Amino acid sequence: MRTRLAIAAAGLLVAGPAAGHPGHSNAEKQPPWQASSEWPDRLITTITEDPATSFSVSWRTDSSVGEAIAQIALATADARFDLNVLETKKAKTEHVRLDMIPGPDGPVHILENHGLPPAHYHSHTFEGLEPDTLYAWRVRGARGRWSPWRQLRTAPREGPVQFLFFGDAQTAIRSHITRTFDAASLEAPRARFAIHGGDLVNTAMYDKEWAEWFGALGRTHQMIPSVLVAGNHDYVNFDRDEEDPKLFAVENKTVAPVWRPQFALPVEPDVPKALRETVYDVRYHEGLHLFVLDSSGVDFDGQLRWLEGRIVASDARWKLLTMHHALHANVAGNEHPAHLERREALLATMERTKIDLVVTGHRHSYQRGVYGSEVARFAAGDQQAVDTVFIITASSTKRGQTKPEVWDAYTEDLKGAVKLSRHGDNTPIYAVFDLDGDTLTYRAMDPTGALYDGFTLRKRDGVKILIDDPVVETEPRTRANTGLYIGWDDLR
Amino acid sequence: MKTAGVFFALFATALADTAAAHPDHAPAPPWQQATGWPDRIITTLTNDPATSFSVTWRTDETVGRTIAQIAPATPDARFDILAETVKPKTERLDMEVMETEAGVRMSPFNFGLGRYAHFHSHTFEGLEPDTLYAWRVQGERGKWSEWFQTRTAPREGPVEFVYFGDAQQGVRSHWSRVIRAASEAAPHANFYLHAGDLVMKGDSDYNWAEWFAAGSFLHARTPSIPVPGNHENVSVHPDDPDAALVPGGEGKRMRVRTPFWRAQFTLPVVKELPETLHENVYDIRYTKDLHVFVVDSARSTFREQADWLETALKASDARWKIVSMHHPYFALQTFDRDDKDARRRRAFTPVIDGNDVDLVLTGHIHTYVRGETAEQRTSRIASGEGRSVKTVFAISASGAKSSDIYGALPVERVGDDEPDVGGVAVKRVAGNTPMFQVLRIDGDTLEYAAHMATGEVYDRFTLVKNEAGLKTLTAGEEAFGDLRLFDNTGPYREWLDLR
Repeated sequence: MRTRLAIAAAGLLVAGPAAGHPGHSNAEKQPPWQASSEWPDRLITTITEDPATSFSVSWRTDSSVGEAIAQIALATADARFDLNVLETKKAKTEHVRLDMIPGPDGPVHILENHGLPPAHYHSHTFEGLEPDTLYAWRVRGARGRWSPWRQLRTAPREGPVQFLFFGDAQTAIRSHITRTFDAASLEAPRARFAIHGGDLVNTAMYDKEWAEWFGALGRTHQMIPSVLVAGNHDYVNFDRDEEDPKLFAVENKTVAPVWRPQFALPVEPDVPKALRETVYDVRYHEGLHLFVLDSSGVDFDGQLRWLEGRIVASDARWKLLTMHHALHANVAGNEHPAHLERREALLATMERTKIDLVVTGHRHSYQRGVYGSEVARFAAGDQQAVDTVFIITASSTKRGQTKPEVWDAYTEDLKGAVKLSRHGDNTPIYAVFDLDGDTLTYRAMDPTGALYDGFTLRKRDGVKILIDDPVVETEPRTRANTGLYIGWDDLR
Repeated sequence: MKTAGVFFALFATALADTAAAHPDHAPAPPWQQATGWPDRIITTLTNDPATSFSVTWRTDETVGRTIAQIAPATPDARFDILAETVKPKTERLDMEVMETEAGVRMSPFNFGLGRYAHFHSHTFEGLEPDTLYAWRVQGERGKWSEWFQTRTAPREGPVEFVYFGDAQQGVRSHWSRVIRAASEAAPHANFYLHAGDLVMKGDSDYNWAEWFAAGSFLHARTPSIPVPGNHENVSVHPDDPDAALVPGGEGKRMRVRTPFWRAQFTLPVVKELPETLHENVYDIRYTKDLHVFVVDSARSTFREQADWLETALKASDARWKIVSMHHPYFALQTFDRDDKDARRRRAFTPVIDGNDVDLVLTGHIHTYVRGETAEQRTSRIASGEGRSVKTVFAISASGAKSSDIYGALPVERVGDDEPDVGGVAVKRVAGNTPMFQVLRIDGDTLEYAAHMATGEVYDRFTLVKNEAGLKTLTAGEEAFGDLRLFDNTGPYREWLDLR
């Protein structure tokens, strides 16, 4: 028998109608950076299926705002560029209750959001734009309550592109992860888009955590579109596993009800409805194709079939897969059995498709490795023929510990076809990718702006040659040789 | 009931632009209202930027003593464990009945906000040069800001900074894109210099809310050098404090600095200057090579300031000396509008001319002008050729207000070597184009680029200084492109519709 709502015991959820719920409203406890108002907030731009001619924007207001507006103009150098508005459009608006969410047995009360009023989430996709062109856009809540104008450049059809990847933000987001996002904006101010590899927050039902995430990230990322990946913490699980109550059941879970209203992401018609806006692909430009899987979602085998079909059909030179869960990267030995099955299936897909990059999060440590025939025989500094590079990272204050010896076992299992190239603990790290024709340059950066890992990948006639940056030869950062680490429970 | 509320009701119809600041008399927007949480967080420079920097923030009046923290910004996940806690100063600002150096000023713009705001400030000292620090500030107990990261000045080596002319109009709506474009063009800028008229109404809390919202985290992470302008002044009627409530009020009127200035910016104090000029007139020796001097050209104490400036310039052995003041009139007689402009020009021109000032960075006229003085006239010079110059000056504006006052200069003479009567030859102008300038100093070379809000460069030059202190200016290709003027750019409208 399943343990329904076991997490209620932890004080997260209470089943039953909200009416008559005792206790005090949390509305007054909201910090000013959480509470909704007539003014637009939680602005975010997101990627579309055709980033050269469109981008999406989403924002929030209180529920008094029935009609919200989005506006776009060419970002000229003129003082009043805004006099030539290209489009003023009414947004799509969704009413979202925060104090309760629909559950398998009826509404489920979210204690943390108790007393919070419903919010309106608005979104609009600007379409018919010119490629590689700077636009200015703004959004409105109530009449006269406009956001500032923000500038965003559409994707080029081809040519060099720089983009960012962030692993789990998840914990102490406002307090600590802000510096990682800021550091990235210093290092890569002209990045074209940013991928967030899941576990954006710790408890996806809690409005306050989303307030933290938007506060930390929205400041710079209103200028570049986001590619959002759903992680296990972006899901709401209603059941515990039958066999092992420490684990959540695979059934009866849903991506956080706020996910779709607050992010306007590409809708993939060929996947089950439960995976809409969490499984999608984006042909960014002539040379780059992005694939997003939902490794916390249903029907992973079906997702892989969809992925393989898309990869095979794509003529982009570079193909990048992102999802939340890492293929390998055993941190504490607590791998979910389902993930082991998934690993086998995904490895088989990779073997057939030779996808270039698999970029993930989940393990709260930094680990970068390579797949390919006998990659284990290469030493750092060698030119290495590889099939796939995989990257695992996290921005969070929650830190796991790498176990390189487990990697030796992986290497042995796969007969030398996998190798860990670089790892690091106790260090939030984000990634900067620079793509230019047949060359991809990768840099993993810490929040002080120092390079921690890097490589160059050159692809010619279907053969990928990887050269490590000399920084990989420096001592890996571990718990033993870095500053004191304590958990994040004291951080607000 | 507050007396102030009564005033507001009485004069509501007369105060048309107060109403404009608050559409529909609605409550203050969430991005204006002070709370128990820290906001309007800004980093400013000190006399010794290699070992210290100051931070200032605001809360509502319920927050008395609070704390701030600083830690070396290590890559560790919990860098904050090593934080040191400090006790900031707290200053109360009466936003309704403002106390100024010349008496009380009633500030109707702020009625209904809650009368007092608390500004907290602290100077972190004893830091290491060219080192990244993480810091945060608290409001009420437990209500912390994010951790921000700020780098102290290096003792020597390359320095990059951004210079902004007047933000002033459409600050939240339009200037946001300019300061963000600057953060993209110069992400590692050591500091931002704001050459006056940061806002339209120096005593309007709403205006300052716009300025802080527009810069947001950029004000916190990158230190500022704010230069006061005439719009940071307020009118005081020493004989009748209520006169401000009546448009065109009678009686003696004095223009003094808004009390917001000192409350929200923690700046160096030059003891030799009169107290009224403290934190308004100051100099910052940023590195061995760079010395920045800030003059308050919106105050009539030109003589004291000119004397101090001359002494300070003479005493400095920095390779590069840059003066910033809000008004550009010191050298360009074309722009004189009244006797005060002429007096200002007469006071500062000899000091600038006689003390090897390399650059003068200004604002005020809402247009872009770049000119120079030279010992000798040189003939018209093409891209790529250098010429000898004495001082380069710039006028720039970053906000939505743009004027075509460059029309006072015949445009066909731009780039000509015939100097204006004030002795300055104008080399580049633009109208209808908000800009920001990125300046980079590295040894004997200074690079200057004026960017438009799109990030593209409109004007560029390089100055090279030889051993004898003689400078050669070489203009970049962009300096010879078509001029952007009101008749060949997009439509323009006054800024009154911008909120």
